[in-house]
Amino acid sequence: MKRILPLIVGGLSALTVLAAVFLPGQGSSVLTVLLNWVIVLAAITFLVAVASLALTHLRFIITGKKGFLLSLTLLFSFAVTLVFGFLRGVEDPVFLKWIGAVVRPIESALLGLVALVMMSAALKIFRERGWSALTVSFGVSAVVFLVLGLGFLQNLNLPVLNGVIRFVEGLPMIGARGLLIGIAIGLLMMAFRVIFGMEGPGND
Amino acid sequence: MSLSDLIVMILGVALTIMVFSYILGDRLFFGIATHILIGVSAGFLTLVTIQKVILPLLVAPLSSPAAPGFLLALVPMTLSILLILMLFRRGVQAGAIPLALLSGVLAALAIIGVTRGTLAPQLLSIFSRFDPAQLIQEAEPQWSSLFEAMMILLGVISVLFVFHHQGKTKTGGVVRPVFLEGIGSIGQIFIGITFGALFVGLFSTALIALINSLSDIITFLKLWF
Amino acid sequence: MAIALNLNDQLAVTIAALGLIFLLINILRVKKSKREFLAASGKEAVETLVHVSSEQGKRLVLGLGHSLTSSGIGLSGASGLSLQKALLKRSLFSDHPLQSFAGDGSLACLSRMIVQGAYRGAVASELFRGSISQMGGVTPVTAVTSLTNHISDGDNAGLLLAGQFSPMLVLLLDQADRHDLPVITSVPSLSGQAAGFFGKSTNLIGEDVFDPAGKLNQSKAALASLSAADWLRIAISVGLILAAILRMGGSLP
Repeated sequence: MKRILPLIVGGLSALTVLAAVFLPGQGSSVLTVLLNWVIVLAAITFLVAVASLALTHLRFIITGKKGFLLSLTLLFSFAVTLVFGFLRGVEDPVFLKWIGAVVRPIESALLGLVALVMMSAALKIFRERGWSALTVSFGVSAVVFLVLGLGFLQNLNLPVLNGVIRFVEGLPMIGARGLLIGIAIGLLMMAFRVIFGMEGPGND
Repeated sequence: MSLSDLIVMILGVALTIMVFSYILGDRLFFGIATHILIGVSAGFLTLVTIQKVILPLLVAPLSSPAAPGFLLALVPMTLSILLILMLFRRGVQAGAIPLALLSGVLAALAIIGVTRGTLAPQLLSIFSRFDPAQLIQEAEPQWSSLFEAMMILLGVISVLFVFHHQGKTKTGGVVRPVFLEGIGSIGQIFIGITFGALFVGLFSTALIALINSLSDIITFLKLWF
Repeated sequence: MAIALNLNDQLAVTIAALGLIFLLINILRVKKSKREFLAASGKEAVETLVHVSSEQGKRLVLGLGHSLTSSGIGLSGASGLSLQKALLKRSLFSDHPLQSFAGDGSLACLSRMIVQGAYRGAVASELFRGSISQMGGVTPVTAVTSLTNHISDGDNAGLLLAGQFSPMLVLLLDQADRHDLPVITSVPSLSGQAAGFFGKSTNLIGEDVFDPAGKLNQSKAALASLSAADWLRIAISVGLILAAILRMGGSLP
């Protein structure tokens, strides 16, 4: 029963959504109710996971685990944000200004770091991955699109060159389409496995 | 510049430098900056979740028993309690039913999303390239349009067959038929081109962020020197 | 009751129905015939990692990504859970069982349930510790940065990234490179797959990302769905070619 009940709940909820989407009429109100439940449940899982995150770091501090200073930093910033936001409200401009003052520079610097790391290691790709149709086309494509990104060739304004550029710029879409269709096939099969209880809760 | 603006600037530059200390192999300052980010994001999103979801969709309907939504709200409330029990060692299994409901709905949405939102539009878009009105204009065949359409069709099929899973047993393991292997190799070239372009796109975005961060530091330095 | 569907929806329903039929046929067929599947680079890489980890007495770290219900709703973000289940079975009683980090509430709860289920299945519920399945960060960026901090631990033997990750995963791959940790990436988004080319990682691409564990487990369901995916791929390709020919000939509107 412990296994069967989640399977029935999962299967029925999936069938209800599918029926509600493809069968017009009463379906839309059922779908709205079900989606509201899912939104609430997703929010609760988030809160449960955040509580578990806080408890884990609290345990690290209490037991003096290596790196507990970082756990202390995390809990301190978490608590300050919660208290500040609770007192001022999440839409308060001063609160949002301070949240932005912390989040924006760190996120921007992290993305900048990605650029530095990529620059230092771009050439290693061939050494690490060897030569194959995939790596060679990857490298050539990266160089070509880097050059095209500079805009220098476009500025020459040669009709033949512009035609070639337009053709080359369309090439990544072919691979992207194929990959997206393939990923969609894989995801479709995974969704069926979840509905049939071959994956997900209850299947352990 | 107001005092609070100045503090925001100093804070931003300090956090940026802490993140960039990663380049020198530092773990402490990078760790502090990123843990501040995790703590602040978690705190902020917790508040947003409570205010924008829990209060209006769960607490509000439950606070007025006479309202029509009251009985319906009892279901997510019960399921929420089961989820909260997951915080305790012995209560983890209690989450099976709410998580099954969540997974079932997500699976159904995935089926709808990939078939209606990805597969059908992508296939129809390839199909529309073979519209005779585009391929023949003023009784003249448009060879470039035909070439483009054929290339897209064959390119997409070749990419699809890169991931074909089954084969025949030969000495040395399972291998694909030669023609599938050939089609797959062409597909690999298209995949490489796509990833190369995406990689450059990512690099350009990251470079812009790097320039932004560095210009913030320079602006700050200019204030003092 | 007649239901009028547009061309897009008709095609969508046809594909979904075909996929379902193919899967059901293959689930029935898999009992009767033993199909032969190509060796998957992902499977070999995962098996090597498991071997290295048990030999060195170190743990494997699994990043489950940031997205199931928080940063956009999508089942694709759950692709790492089956890998977690498969790997846990192999490391349940080791000193350092598989350590997983999620960047999404629902993923974290599902992952916690998988861990508890694995211990319960092995009749060792008392060994279950919630800390081996943690919430790392709560946004795409923090999901990556929390892992970046954790993987530098000397007790780690390898890193697996299975789920949605922002392209910032380049930082994770760089950190793993610095600590000589082997990495396997299996990210459903195209930008994540492109970023996975960085460094020495084994980078799964395309639909292979939904099968990092299938061939590892050799489970009936996983093998049947691989076979069904092959059938659907052939059906779509043949359908596309036929439709293109008929359209050019003017037989299809």
